[in-house]
Amino acid sequence: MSTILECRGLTKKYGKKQALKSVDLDLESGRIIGLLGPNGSGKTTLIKLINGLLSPSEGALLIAGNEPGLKTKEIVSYLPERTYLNENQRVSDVMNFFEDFYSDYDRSRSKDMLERLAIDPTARIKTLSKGTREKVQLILVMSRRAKLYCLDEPIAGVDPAARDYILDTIINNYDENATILISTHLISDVENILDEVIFIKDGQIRMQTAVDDIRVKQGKSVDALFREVFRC
Amino acid sequence: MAWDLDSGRPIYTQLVERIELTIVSGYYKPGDKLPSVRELAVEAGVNPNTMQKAMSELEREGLLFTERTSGRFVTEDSGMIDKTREELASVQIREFMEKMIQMGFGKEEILSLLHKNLKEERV
Amino acid sequence: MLKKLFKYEWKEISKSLIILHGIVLLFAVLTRISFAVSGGLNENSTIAGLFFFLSIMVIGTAAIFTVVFIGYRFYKDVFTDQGYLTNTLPVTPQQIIISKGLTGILWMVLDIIVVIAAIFIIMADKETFSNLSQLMKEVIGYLFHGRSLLTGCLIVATIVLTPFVSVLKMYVSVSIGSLLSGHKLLGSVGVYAGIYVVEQIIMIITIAVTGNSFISSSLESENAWEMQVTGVQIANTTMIINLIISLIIFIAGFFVTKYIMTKKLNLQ
Repeated sequence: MSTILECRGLTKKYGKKQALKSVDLDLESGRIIGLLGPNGSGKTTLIKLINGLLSPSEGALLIAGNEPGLKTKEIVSYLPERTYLNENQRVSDVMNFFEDFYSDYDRSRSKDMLERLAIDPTARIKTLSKGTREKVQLILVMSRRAKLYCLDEPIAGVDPAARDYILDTIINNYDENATILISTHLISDVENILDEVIFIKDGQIRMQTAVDDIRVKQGKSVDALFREVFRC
Repeated sequence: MAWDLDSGRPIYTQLVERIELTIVSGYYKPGDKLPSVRELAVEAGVNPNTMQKAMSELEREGLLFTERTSGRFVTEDSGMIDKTREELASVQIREFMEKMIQMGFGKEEILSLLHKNLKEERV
Repeated sequence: MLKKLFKYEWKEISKSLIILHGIVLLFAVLTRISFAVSGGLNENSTIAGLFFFLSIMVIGTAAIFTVVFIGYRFYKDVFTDQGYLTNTLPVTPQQIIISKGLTGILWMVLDIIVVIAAIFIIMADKETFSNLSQLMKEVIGYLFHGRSLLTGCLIVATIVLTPFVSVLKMYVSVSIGSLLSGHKLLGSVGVYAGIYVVEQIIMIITIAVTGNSFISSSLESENAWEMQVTGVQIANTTMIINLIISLIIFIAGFFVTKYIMTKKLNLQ
């Protein structure tokens, strides 16, 4: 067990608005962790900070002991909410790209998953439906043997069958040396696969607990607890 | 697809129950090899850590045993399995009794109702 | 990593630019053919005239399109949704800028070569090459001799630096434009125009100041030789100032772009 992510007093301001307020956080390796919070709570900001897409205003963020940069990008695999692929490329082109840039990319995993979903690798991204594009991106991200996976809303806007597939893919690719951080507001769909949850609101961490602790001590599901804590 | 699990109760407890059921019902016979933790986790739609915890619990109870290189197996000890079967049955009976008593039935009534139903529903 | 970035960048932008420049050459060839058929540019050759006109248009468009395309490609790959991939690759912002920049510069040079080739295709005949080499010898002889050596060097330096500065001007405009919350592309155009205006103002001031000293010193001088020397000095001064401005834009542009990509990135 080691700490894959450490945040100390992490703050992010946009002008007067504070997206993250002095966040202290530790994530251990080998866990599937849910980052749960309403829209605008700071989830995406935290994930962008982890991936070096934003710079902290104050405080520190360390991934396996390094600040976000070259070294961390090699071990962090990121699935953003958006389609970040060049739409004119073919799926196989993107696989070549990943293979070229990421030494931890396992092409056979991708091929396997694409075959099972009957996705043609020679198809151009723009010809794929939205749901299929999301699956392709997920497949690429999960085919890397990274130390930290950041999945930003992996199942939002996707039909229930695809949701099941995505959750199965996540479970299947679980590695006890890696941590999967899932940011979502669709809690009841994912809570059964989580080890730990972090509740975040208004840029602050409200709670970080093991999931079965909630069920044992409070006798309710994470979804039910969430609704209580974040009651409007 | 995933097992029907109640998010309001600890998942690993439910997994233990489910697997116990598969063993006592004979779905997995004594000595049968269980699928890997990962495969079961995918089937159940749960975190592999949680499934691992459930399996460890079942090993502790003596229903499963691990062979280092080959995997996890159901115990060959049929006495163990029978014991578990009876324990599960007791739980069901207790729940059943509580409900019936809640509805106002006395013990004699419950027994005769059981006889009647069993006779009629003989398939 | 740099080589890989370069490889993918090259593949990506060459697709469109090769087609574009192919069209340029096609038009040049068609023009040349229609000249040959109609016996040159005269009243009887409206088609030739039309092709000639179109060729000029296409050449001009290609040159402008090339530089704009290079800038737009940088914007798209770094500051839009694709930026989520580009900026999380295990590479430094420096490597991204250099790989894209070099590809852009290479294409700007290719663009010039194609333009020159197109002109040759349209206009050249047997005498052109000998005339041209004669002219080149004279010019080089004049420019790189004695007092004019500096001028010659400055001209070469300006020519060499131009593609570098053009590309980086685009990149820095796009980067600064991305800082706006809306209308980022419009903002980039604005920044580009702003830089252009500032450059022009400095050049005008330079010319005015040196032109002024030329007039006053030529009024004082008594022979043509001195006037000629002063004229050359003024040309040199102007070119040196231009080179300095270009270098400043190039270096500052690189560091500003890098800073924005590192600290001020804000993808939507």
